[in-house]
Amino acid sequence: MGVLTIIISGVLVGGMYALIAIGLNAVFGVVRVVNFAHGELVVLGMYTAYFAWTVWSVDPYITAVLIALPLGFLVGLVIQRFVVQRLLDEPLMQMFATFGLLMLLQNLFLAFTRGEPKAVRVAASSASLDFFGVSVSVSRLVVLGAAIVVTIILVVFLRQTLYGAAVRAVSQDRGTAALMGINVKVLYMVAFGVSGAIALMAGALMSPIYTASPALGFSFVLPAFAVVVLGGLGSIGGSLIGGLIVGVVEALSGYFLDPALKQAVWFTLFLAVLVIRPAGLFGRAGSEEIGQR
Amino acid sequence: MNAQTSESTQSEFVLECHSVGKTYGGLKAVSDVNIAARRGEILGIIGPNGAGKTTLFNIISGHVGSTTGTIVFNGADVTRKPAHTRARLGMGRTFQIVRPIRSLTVLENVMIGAFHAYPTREAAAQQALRVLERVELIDRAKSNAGDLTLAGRKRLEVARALAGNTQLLLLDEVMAGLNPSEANLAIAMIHRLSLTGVSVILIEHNLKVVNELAQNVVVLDHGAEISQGSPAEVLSDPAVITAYLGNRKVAK
Amino acid sequence: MKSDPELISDETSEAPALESAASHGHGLRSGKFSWLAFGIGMVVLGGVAALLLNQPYYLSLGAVGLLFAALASAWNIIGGYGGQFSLAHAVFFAVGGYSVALTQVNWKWAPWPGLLLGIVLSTILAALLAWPLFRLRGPFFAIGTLALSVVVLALVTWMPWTGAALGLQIPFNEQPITSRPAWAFIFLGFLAVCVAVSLVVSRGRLGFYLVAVRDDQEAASAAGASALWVKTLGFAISAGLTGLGGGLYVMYLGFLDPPTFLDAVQIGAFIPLCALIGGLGTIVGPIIGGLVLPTLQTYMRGAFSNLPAGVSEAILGLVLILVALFFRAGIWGWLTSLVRRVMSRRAKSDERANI
Ligand SMILES: Nc1ncnc2c1ncn2[C@@H]1O[C@H](COP(=O)(O)OP(=O)(O)OP(=O)(O)O)[C@@H](O)[C@H]1O
Ligand SMILES: [Mg+2]
Repeated sequence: MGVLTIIISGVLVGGMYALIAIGLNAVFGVVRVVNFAHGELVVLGMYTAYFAWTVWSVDPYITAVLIALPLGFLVGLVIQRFVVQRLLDEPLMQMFATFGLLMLLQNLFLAFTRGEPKAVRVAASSASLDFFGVSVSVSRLVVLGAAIVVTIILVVFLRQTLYGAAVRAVSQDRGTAALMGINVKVLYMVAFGVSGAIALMAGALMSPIYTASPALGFSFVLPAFAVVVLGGLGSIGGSLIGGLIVGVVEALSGYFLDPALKQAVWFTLFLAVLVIRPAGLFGRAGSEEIGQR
Repeated sequence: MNAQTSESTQSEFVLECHSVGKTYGGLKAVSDVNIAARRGEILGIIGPNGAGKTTLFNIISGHVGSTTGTIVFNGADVTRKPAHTRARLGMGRTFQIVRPIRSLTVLENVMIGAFHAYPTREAAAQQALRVLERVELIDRAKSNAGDLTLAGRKRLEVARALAGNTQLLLLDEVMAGLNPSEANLAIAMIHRLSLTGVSVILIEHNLKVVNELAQNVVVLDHGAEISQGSPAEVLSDPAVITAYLGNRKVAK
Repeated sequence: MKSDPELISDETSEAPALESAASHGHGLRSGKFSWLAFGIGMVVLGGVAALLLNQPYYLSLGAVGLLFAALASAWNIIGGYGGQFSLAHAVFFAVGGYSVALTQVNWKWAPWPGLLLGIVLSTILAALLAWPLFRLRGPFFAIGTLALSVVVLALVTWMPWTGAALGLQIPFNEQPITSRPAWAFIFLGFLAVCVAVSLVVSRGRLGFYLVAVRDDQEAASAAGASALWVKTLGFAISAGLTGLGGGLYVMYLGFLDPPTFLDAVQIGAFIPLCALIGGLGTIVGPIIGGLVLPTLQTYMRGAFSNLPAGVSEAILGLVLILVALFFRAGIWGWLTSLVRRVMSRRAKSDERANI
């Protein structure tokens, strides 16, 4: 295995982390709430794809767009409306609540699937392209592509539209934005909806690659947090780049050190970033403190 | 300025700011401000909204790092010292938007300010009671801080800032939002505090209050110091008048 | 930023002096009788344990409850008073556990110096980690601590000298206390230590500073409290006690494996959950939560044993959400506010009777 192979596989894994982290950051950047249950939403997307595939023989890529996106939007909306909205001024309780949601969803998955792994296997699962002599998995390439497309859409949308301007106003100062006539509640619901949609779509896109299991969400959400912190809190573009960095670092350390240590390596990276530049590589300085007050 | 200040703790000035500045992105919130507060005096700081008054306070108290300049407190350079160290050295401040510790009582809030000088619970409580007496909040000692009226909360801010044997009191618009009779009580209170030897720097919008209390006044506009002197001098300064009338082009 | 109602509404709301004189929830005003109440409480718990002496099932339930009550009290110092949602306490729990197990298995130490070592190591580790971790505020601190506990789990499972995934087994003949009933009293003693430390902390300067930093870090620093130092002290004390708990738990179980000690949910989140359900930032709350929650969980596991795995944990998750939404003051907060309401109603009706 050459270093090129490792870097490419790292970039592909990084695309997945980026896609998950973008959803997490979409909520964080606007609502300033950390959703511990985000990884479970990704797993929900995987189960949705599995269900659609086994029951209606729907291809997971079709599920991703036609079912996961709207369903995820709805799920995000519900989480915001019935849980987070009531806890906006209670940072500690937000954490308890989204952590509770993590436990609830994870164990519901366990109860419903009885812990049996659920795998979706379609042609894309095993298809690969040849890239300078390195074989590249098509399904992973799709995830990376999705991460890039979602980043571009969100960045353009946030820069160009009135909604984007409103988002910027709200994320800086909720009270003043409300006085300016922005419907903060609707905005937050949209933000959570978008986050949920991206999460479920990510899950559906990942279903041909990974075998869905209840504990998987937890293993996704931690690197995603590392990515968010690394790339910058609230910076969508930063999440994409942060995801790729974490993916490559993880792949390299897995190869040169020991695969069991990859988490320790990105955690060290994560701590180093926190100490040197708490706002992350592309975040606005000071934004890490907004979560508190 | 005075090169010897860092040696003598009994210097004439309790606080000196040497060309302090702070930029937020491209915005110069405070630029090249020089002020000096004499021991025991009441120094007024006035200026239109957004002039940089609160930012200047944040720089003095250490809540915001200055981009340029030095802060000398009691003859010692505190520019690199964190906020809590400056508080322990005897600098007390209030916040324009009051910030009571909501899950504590009034007494306990003041104890928070006293603890660094009175480390035990009993000593801190004694000191807090004395301070509450001075700001006439003693009868609300056991109330929850959040239950006070605005006037009460402003007094609580002052009490907490005063509790740690404070030598310099930074008051950020402690009269804003009070009705005239409450404001008069507050003026009397500040006057009394000043007589006990505490130096006061006072941000105020109400020029009448400044006129009544302050011996010296600094005027800020767009982050810069545009005038300095006795209240009478400053209030008749044409630059100040244009700044307050809002004709910014003329003022520049 | 919060909007500032004080700038808008300016009306005089004179709260009745009686209601405000009654202590409001946050435990600092544990009055003159708190040490007396502490003594009585411990004697009562000891009495209950003595009554259960020939009921081994309930006694062992009670022992685990007492352990978690103590752990929740320890967590509450930084998590409740200090408001720092640490998910890393599983790490300190494991440091204590490994200190006892490793010294005993490798060097034939008696467990007692091992316990001491565990306290020292977990305190030092917490103090060292505080510097990077407390650069993070609010949710980011929680993420940092969660990541820490996951990484430590990965490291411990990977390193051979910690017994890797299998963990460590302490030979039965080297366990000094194998009588189950004795453990209920040992954990009671551990609870007494944690509560006593909590009392000392909460009644002293550190407790006030922790609450001040939790409620408003800028205001606290303006009043002379160093937020970093205050949080570091609270974190280290809390971690030291948790390390002691981990050491005792190894002695109780006679073995140690990574999932039992380092699970991010079953230990890392469960301890804060106990404190939350009982009542954060109070002395009594975490004790109640620690006694109630593990018992409830054991009960549910038994009652739902014919349902698929995960149901009881899912219910726990749901409870967590509901408590965060509707029951923030926890059981103890709810009880005290109930008492306060009844008292103020009685006071009002007295007033009316006087008129
Ligand atoms: N944290 C910050 N980030 C960016 N800009 C800031 C920040 N704090 C203050 N400013 C800007 O700096 C300028 C000065 O603000 P400051 O609050 O010091 O004014 P002020 O004189 O206290 O006004 P007021 O009389 O309304 O209290 C304003 O334009 C404000 O928008
Ligand atoms: Mg101001």
